[in-house]
Amino acid sequence: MSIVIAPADPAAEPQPGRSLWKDAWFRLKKNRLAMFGLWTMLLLIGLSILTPWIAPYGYETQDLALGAAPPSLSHWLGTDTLGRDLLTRLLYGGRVSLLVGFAATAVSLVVGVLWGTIAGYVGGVVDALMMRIVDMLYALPFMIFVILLMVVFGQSFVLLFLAIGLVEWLTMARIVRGQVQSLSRQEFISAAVVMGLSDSQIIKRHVVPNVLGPVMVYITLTIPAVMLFEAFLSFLGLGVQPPQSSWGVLIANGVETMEEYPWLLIFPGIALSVTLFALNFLGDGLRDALDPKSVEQNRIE
Amino acid sequence: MSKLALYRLIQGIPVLLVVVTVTFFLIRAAPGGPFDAERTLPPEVVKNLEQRYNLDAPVAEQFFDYLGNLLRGDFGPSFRYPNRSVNELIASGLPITFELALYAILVAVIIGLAVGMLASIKPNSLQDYLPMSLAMIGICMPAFLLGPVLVLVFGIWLEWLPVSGWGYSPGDKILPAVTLGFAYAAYIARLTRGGMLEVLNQDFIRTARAKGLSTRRILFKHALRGGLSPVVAFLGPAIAGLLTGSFVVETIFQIPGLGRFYVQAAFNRDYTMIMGTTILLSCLIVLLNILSDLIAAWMNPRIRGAR
Amino acid sequence: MSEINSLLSVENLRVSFDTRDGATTAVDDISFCIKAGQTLGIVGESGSGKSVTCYAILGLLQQPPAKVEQGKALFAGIDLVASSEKVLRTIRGNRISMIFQDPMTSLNPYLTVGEQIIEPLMVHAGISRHDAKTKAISLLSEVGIENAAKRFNQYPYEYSGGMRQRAMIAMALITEPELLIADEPTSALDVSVQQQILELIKSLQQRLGIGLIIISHDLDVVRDIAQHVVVMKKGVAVEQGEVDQVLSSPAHPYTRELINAVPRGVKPEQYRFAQDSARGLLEVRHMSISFAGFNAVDDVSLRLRQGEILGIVGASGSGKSTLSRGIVRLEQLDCGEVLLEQVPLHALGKAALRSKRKDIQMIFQDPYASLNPRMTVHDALAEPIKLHGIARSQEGIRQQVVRLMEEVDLSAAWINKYPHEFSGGQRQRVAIARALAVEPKLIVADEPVSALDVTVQARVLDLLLQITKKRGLSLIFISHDLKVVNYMADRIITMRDGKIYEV
Repeated sequence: MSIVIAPADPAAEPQPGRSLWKDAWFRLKKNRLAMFGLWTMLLLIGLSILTPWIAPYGYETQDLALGAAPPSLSHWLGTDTLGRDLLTRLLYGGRVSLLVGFAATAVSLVVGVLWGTIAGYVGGVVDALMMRIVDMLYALPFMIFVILLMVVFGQSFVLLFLAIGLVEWLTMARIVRGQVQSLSRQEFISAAVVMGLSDSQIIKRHVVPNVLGPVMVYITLTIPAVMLFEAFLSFLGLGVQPPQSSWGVLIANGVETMEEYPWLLIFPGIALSVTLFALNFLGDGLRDALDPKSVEQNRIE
Repeated sequence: MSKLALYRLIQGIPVLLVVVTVTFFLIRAAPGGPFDAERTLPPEVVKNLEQRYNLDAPVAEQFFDYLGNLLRGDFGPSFRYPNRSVNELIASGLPITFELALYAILVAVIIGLAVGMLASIKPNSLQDYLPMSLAMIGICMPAFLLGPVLVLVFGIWLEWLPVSGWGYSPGDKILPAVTLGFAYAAYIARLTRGGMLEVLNQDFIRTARAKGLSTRRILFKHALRGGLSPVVAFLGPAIAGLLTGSFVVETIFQIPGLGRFYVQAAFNRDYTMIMGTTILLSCLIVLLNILSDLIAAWMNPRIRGAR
Repeated sequence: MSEINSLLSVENLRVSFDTRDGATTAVDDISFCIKAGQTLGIVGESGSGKSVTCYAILGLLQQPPAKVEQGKALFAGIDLVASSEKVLRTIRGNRISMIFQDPMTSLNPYLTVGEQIIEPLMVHAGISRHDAKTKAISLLSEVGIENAAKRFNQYPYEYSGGMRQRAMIAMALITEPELLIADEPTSALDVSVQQQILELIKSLQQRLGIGLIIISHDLDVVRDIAQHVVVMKKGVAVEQGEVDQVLSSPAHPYTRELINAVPRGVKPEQYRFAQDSARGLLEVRHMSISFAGFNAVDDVSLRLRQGEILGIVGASGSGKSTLSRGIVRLEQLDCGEVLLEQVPLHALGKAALRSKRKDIQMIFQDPYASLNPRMTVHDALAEPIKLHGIARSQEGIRQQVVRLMEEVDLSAAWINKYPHEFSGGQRQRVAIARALAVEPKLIVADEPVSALDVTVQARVLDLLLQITKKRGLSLIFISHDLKVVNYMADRIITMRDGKIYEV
């Protein structure tokens, strides 16, 4: 950390400051794996958005005469048992997987952040009560409940990401509350109170910008967890229902015929894995970039 | 500490009650379920159900009947297999799933701890990057992907290991245990590494070095206890995940465990089976979570000593 | 000082660190030596390299990012700097022991104290656990821990701060080392305990005849306990010699600055308070604040006049911080009144309180936590200006900000910088500017300089005196350090256990 020394000319031009975000961005850029993750995600999101225009075939287009064929020039990733182009299905499936991932994370984000901020800032009895509820809910085996929910009511797409999102909000609430609590004890918050700012002004200007970092990291790590859970449900036949399909569904289908047509398993598998890789590396990188404590100091020798 | 244990156990009771209640009422709301007026079922099943569940009685009574049966350990008759009870199915499947989970957790803990500790000794070196990248694969390749791939490679292409059954052919327990445990090995490796690094950064490790202690002594005597605490805290959720993960692994490897029965029950809408299994698994998970929390608390001398 | 017969002789030691902004030299060509049975004090402020030097001697630095570029540390014929880790391990904790600043974090919370004390003895001397335990218990008694046998089996959390440091001392001395290095051994302790620990170290050192290197930022500590001193600044040994000589007739300007920076006596004439003309400003009547049955502030009353500086002194836990927070209404009062110019602050509604806040501001202890890390200096100062309508236009606000920065002696060119780009003292100036921005009548300063280096502290104190005089402000100055309060205040109040003992 360089300490500013007085410039020779007192009337000199204002020097630019280096915000913590800029600092973090520099650190992130140096992390090659994290940048790989970032570019990969941007690419995937771009492909997903452009899918209707770039998919080589229609989603439903079958070619029964052809049946399942290995990768070729006309079908880059091959076709499935009904002659549907795998690349196309992969692109459309990706949209669904990514959509569920982002939507479910958004659900957990909204609920978790609100809950955690209120509990952490207000403190006292309110905090104790809110966190007690979280503790109780945490003890419930949510995954099983979600499975149960999907078994019972399974047909709704909205229900899917609501349910998945509701599994993750608890951890988000805990993290946010912890951050907000430790922030509230810092003296610049007291200074803001003494200055005469209202609670909402303090939360908006002083609390939120300082909580953003860990929240961002957590979001980046929640999305892959959510996508994984969706794929898991779809694999069991409880997630995304036909006619829609996601990568999980494609993998499930691929497993059935994996001996004869391995490409039907391998390509969706790669797609899912790469996405999860990218998000996890990015999340890890963000966490390291935003946390000034450096790992190099930890050698034991 | 014993006070804490008692407190947590007592806290667990309302949780279990919630589990049973939610499950019961969800099933009750299910279209085509055992409580649905319009259902097309074989008459023997209907007769069994009516006997057991007193289906014309008011809801509350039905619920308490079910609760009473539960406390006696009776999960009721299967919805789909007229001559078998849920208890029978659970009794045949549970031990197998237990065994699978046990092997998986052994795989996860042994590999995860070893890898995580190795990585934490020399951070940012090859000893760190290589195993941690491997661990990342474990996290990003879920069991339902890893399993089939392993089956493809080791079972079909190389033909080294059997790909189905449990206890039929020698070595048929290897692939399922590895598939289930690998992801958790990865999580444990990362948690161990993180926990160890954080502890190694503490002042009291500097004191230990200033005392002239060997690396090995510092690692095992001073750092380990603190470094392991995130891992111990993780064990509870890990077991929950393992039990859930068994659904997939048993399906892929055709293992007649509880998980596979559950999946089949889900497909077949065998509601009593679903209900029974859900409640049983949930109770197991809640208890194991409490246990892991207590162990984690016990490791902290401050909490251990408090009356 | 000759290098022959030296217990430890450091020659031309140089250590650099690899940071993001390039390589910085932390220790630049240091040489000193210490004879058996003597005490050497290494004095310096933060960043002086005093701790790094000793870490380098014992090989405790993480290399990278640290690098010992050159130099020797000769101990009993061995060059420690050039020795392998294996050799160093036989010396550490055995022939050279070290104790650290914060006993809370320096002891392993997961092991019993006794276990940690016998460890070096068992490892280095191969003594059996039983014999080691006997020795440890007698040593614990010797360092002043009662019930040593019972305490042996207890965990660090069951010890008080002073006791922990005594245990650390026992741990360091159990192997009867020839040299003890003490890195700021009393800085993290309560003032009341500091003297006892120093006395303990001094007597043990004399009785056992071991060499002692004591690192401290506090000149008085070194004066008390050492025969020789090395004064360090930014990695360089600017002066060294016998303690009495160096401290009474310092040769180097920095040493002089260091000596003069410690506040002595009362403040200069020009800042004295003119008693008669001033009118009353603040009145606190029978204030009580309690937390969970514990009386933090117990029936406190005081008065303050316009332009007066009131000093509140007390040990930690005496309630002085809580009192200050109660005055500013950061804490709820159980009972009592706070009247600012006859306005009952304690009874105002939310909105009325917010607008009245401009009359009374606060400065806090920790410069690292008192500024929002995501706001530039401009934003931090503009916020109160905008809030209370001191200025409204972009340009008007900016001018005010610049004026404030100049008032606290910060270059206006730094207006867009962020807190982490400043030093502790500079950050505290920003905090002062922020408090001044709303043109308050009273500022409550809670330990405003306790976290700062002594030379920085002196400058900030003088700044505060200037500002209060110029603006006719009243100041409530809180500190645990009597020297500082004596220097700053017109009137002093002592607090203990929540009650006031007027001086």
